[in-house]
Amino acid sequence: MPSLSDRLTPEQRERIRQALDGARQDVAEVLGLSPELVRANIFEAVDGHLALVADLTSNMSGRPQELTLTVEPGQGAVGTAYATGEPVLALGEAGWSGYLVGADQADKPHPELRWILSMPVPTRSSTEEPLFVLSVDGIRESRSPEELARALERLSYWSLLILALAGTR
Amino acid sequence: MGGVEGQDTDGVVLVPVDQRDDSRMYMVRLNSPSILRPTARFRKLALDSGLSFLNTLTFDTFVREAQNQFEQTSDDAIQPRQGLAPTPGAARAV
Repeated sequence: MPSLSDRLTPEQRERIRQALDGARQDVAEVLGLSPELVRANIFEAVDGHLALVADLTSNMSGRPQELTLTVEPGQGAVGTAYATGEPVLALGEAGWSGYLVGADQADKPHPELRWILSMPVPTRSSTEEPLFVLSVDGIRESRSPEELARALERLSYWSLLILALAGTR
Repeated sequence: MGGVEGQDTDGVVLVPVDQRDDSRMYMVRLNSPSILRPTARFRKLALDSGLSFLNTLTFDTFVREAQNQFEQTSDDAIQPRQGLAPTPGAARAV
């Protein structure tokens, strides 16, 4: 059975990349950060794991090892958002990202990662697991939990737009 | 936003999930805004993509329309991968 990313047309992929770029810029604006310090990506469930979709990212070029990142449901910000169906924010200091992923993935996250916003994207039925998790993160500059929570409203718009774009032919 | 953990402050509740010496993680519960307040770049991409319904919607209606837009072309083409945990109504998170 195809996943979300498997069945997207090239045009849909391009639109979704534009949406990821918009989400990144909107979140940066809310947080008063340079957009260059903010990145966006999508994780989807593949064979029981949550895998980053390598060609649906924004501002993540230059670190190919990150594009192969996988996490387990319930693990870190992305995995917790997926498992609970609730938005999650995580923040930490240098070196904190090790606990966000498994030991075999510990060298993949950006070493200057400071915060993550993870938004699960639902389908119509509330009993199903999210179709994917939209995740936006920031490097080098920290923000408070309250500031990060404020950015989640903007992110929720973009997550739903991405869902709609995936259904637009 | 007062940011009191575990309490509703200006419509946002931060629920601590994990707290360590070097990091913290929270689940966040947001109230749905009563009206749609898209940014200019959001509106432009949506309209350029043919999603003109954005012009007149409340936020709650937008959630339903976005889901319908996806599922009307996807019911027989895609299902979420095998579930690993139940999802208690993720739409309410927005």
